[in-house]
Amino acid sequence: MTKLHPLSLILAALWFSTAAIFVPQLTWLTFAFLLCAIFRGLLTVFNLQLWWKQIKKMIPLFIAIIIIQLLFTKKGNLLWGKSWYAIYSVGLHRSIAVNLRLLILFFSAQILLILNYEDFDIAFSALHLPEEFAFMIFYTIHIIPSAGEQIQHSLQLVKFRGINMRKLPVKSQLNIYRNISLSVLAEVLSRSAVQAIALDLRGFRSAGKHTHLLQKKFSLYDIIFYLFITVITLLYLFSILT
Amino acid sequence: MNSSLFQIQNITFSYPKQPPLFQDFSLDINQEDKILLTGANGSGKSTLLALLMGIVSPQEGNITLNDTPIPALTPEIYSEVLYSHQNARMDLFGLVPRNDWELWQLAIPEKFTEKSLNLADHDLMAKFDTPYAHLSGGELRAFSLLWLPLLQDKFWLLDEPTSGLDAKHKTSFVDLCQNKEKRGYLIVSYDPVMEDSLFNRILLLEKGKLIQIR
Repeated sequence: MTKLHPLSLILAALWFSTAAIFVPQLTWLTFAFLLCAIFRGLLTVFNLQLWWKQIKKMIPLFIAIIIIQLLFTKKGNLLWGKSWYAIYSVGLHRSIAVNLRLLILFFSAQILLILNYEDFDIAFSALHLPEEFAFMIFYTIHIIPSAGEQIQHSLQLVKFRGINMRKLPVKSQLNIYRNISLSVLAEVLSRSAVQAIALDLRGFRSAGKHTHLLQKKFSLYDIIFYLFITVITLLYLFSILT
Repeated sequence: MNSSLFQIQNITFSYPKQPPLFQDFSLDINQEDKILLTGANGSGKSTLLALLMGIVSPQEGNITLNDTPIPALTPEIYSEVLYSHQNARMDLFGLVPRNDWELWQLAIPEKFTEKSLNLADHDLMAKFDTPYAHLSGGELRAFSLLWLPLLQDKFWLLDEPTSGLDAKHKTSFVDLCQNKEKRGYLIVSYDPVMEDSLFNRILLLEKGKLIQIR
């Protein structure tokens, strides 16, 4: 699967996230979710244990969505209960749909996170877009996971010093969190500044035709992939228009 | 006293999509051991320290610290060991060296008193409030080792502690190692300044196997 061109991977993530946002039918959403999961699995590995570990953290959110939709959507057919705890078909449909949308968006983001800066560079150069695009989009996508890793590392440092955060007074805890957040923010800004200087040094702003050191040709896999998403999109459009 | 500190029992570890770095690997480290760990680049020395600290976990086998399995370690048990990463910046907490000292003060207030600041290297203390981003690699390393004299009672796990240090700081570090009595250390190093006499065990890590040189 990594034989795919980076642009194909970006388009795949866009295609899945577009489906998550615009497709209302539960069957098609389930289909999009399965495709997204298979695609992500082929791209990395089918490590169900890891997937479960990642999704487990989102379970409270999923449950909250289900409860809110079931309690506050009073449309469609009555399925169970009465008065304030009555469950209607539209509420059930919406709760499942919103959770499926979240899962698809989460898996799409995972596809993008696999790509490194060079991949974005190759993808955007294939579209003849300036390197600034690759830089800005790469940074935006990676800023949250990168900050998350730094926060985890800082908390690990606290643990390695023998400090049990739970046993600390609130004031000390707040002090530690303040230091962590300031250092993470400073690190992100500092790294961005270094990256921006590195881009400037490569002369990407200079006039004239640009050349690209990193290039990759589209393969047969890419053609199969584009054909596949075209056929699925047409099938979907055909199903909603007829 | 020569009681066991770390016990590695028949572990297997590999990074994703890589061949195993360690297979059926075992090692005992005692409280008083003074170990030099050497080996080629990529032989797994830093990974071994990361396994001991629970930063990465083996796919098979067990590692214990004071008879407690690594995944079950509490911060209190971790406090018996001092780990220094290969990248000195990763040892330092917060935005400036003062934040790092404040964290130590929170952990061991009886040792990290205001007076302790006067004992530290004056040249380094001049940069106590300088952001890490503005310090050189050598200065970061010196700051990461600055409080070792106050941490003598911990077992040190140090990954290339002398890299980037100037001659003065290297000499101070070697002196500290020579005079360390309460507990031992495991040091990953290639630096000739780390003489054999500083160690009672010298281990060579080669293709996932340990060869005891001494």
